[in-house]
Amino acid sequence: MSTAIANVKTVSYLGSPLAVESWEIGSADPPMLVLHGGNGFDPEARFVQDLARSRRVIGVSHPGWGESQRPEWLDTVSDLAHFYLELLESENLDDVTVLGHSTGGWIAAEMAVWRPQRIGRLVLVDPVGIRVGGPADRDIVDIFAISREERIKLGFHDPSLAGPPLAEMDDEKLRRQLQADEMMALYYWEPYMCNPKLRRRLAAIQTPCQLIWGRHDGVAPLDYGRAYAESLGHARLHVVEEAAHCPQIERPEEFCRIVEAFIAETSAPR
Amino acid sequence: MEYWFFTEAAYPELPPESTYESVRVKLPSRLLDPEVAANWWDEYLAEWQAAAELGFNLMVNEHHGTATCMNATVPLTAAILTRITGQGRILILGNPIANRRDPVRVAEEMAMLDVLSRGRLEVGFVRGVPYEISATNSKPVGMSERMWEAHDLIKLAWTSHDGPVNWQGKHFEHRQINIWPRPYQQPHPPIWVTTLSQSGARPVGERGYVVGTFLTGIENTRKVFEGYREGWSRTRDGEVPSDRLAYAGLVYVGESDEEGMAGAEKLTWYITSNKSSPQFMDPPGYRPVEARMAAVRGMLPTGLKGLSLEQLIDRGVLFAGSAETVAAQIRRFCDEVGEFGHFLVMGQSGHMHKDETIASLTRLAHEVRPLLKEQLPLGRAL
Repeated sequence: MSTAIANVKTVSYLGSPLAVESWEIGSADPPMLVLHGGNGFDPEARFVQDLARSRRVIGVSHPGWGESQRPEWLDTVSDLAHFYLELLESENLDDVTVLGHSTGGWIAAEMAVWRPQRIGRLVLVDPVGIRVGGPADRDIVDIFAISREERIKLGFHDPSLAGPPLAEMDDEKLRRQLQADEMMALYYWEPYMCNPKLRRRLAAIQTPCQLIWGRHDGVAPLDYGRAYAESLGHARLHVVEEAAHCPQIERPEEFCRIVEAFIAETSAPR
Repeated sequence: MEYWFFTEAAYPELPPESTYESVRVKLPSRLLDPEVAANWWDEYLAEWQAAAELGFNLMVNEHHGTATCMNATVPLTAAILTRITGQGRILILGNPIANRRDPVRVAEEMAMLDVLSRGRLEVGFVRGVPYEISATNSKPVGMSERMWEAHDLIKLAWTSHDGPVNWQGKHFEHRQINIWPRPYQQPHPPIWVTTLSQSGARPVGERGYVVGTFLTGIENTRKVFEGYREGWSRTRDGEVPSDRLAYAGLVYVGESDEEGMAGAEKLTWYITSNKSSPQFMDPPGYRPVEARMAAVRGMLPTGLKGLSLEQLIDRGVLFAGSAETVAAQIRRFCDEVGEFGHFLVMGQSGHMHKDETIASLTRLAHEVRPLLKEQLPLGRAL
């Protein structure tokens, strides 16, 4: 297993120093940037370890999550997308595979809409961020209106993979989780889990894109995923059976196989 | 000491608690019979009216999406009170301005009420309880900041009289602010702010407003008032006048101790009928991560639910018994927390009907008040 030691380093963002918690696992280029969903980045996750065997995987805690600082004005997903686009510039990363899960997929899609030059390909895993239904439809379940237990039931085909309940977490994990909850409310509250303009803009994305969806996703259901694929036009949608909102956690082998094949297919021969 | 009467104007006719998950946010409104609701409203308005005649000041508050309070918009109720009562101050405690999209409209509503009542209005600003978040679609993160920005904007709207002014803040934007009417009281009605904590009381003290705290009992009320004094001393010299401090308790005065306790039992509907889902009670961002951690670890004090009447009295949350008994309880509370100028009397709750409510208020005005006159600073004659 590769080592995964978090490193809090100070980067310059828009001329101001900002502490950012990040992990680098594996070493080969082109690199992969993993954009985590609401609960944060887990460097020990099997899919991260497996993907890092043949490349450098960079995981970053979004500003406000974990040990990453958040400038007081940074509070929208567009802000996060801009932050990561600047990070690709300052780190001089090219042909990057941007893999985003859930709200991380939303960030990745926003990045590709605005400035795709350094992005080699997109892997969007049960992403949110678009509006599909009418005003009275609930595209994405209101996670703030249901209990944590219900959230797990909707998010996992096998709830035993969801990790320990809050009461069983050690202080550090608990603090990170509650901090993550607060950041979700800050960034995703309204418009709820979406940018109403994003669906139209997805058509502008030329970057190769693989969508991966859990068949039993109860947070953002498969029909929402089909609408995502349709809006992207050229994207392929792979459905993972026996998985819900987190196929990368529930079916890591199948997940990595699909990602590896997509990367191989979309990379220039060396 | 000034006495203020209020009721949350509940809809108490609920099915057994086991049949619903949460009385807040999710309770289906088909459970409300509009005819029954109208009957209760007749009683509530009659209670405020009777209280004013007995010499009480009046207080109204608002909540949303809950059977515990049908008072969904304070200016409406306050507007009625300006017309059906002829005396007493009318306190709105308060406007949940962190949850209102348009503070300028709040400024205008309050100014209109002030004119309607010829300056009897006192205006409270509150951050709102956590259950209000979902019911108003309001973001739970940054609420204090939003509340204080809304307050700044409302004050600007109240005090600008030379044509339109402008606001482009972090949370609110409004061009061409020029409210009509302007407030009757100049420069604006007295301002109240509620809080339940020492840290929350400091900014209120700094501004010299009235701080109100609800059912916090002896120990926490002392902390709130201490926080207020800390804030006060940052910006002002001298002692905090007692009319800057307010406390709300449940109060029932009976003919006898026994009757008082029977009334108190009915009042505790407010405490016992508050079944709520955890996600509505503790939305992320409403309180600091450290406080939420402590809650997960079971390190925060539990609420009032489950306490006996005697324990509630002992804590200083409930004041109940005969006139002599209640007077002694109020006296003890004042001895413990120090002098405060406003006693907010939560004198009705649950299934208590208006005759019972008014009987208790009458004893409070005619029997308890005279007993306390010598011990407590004089307020307006009741």
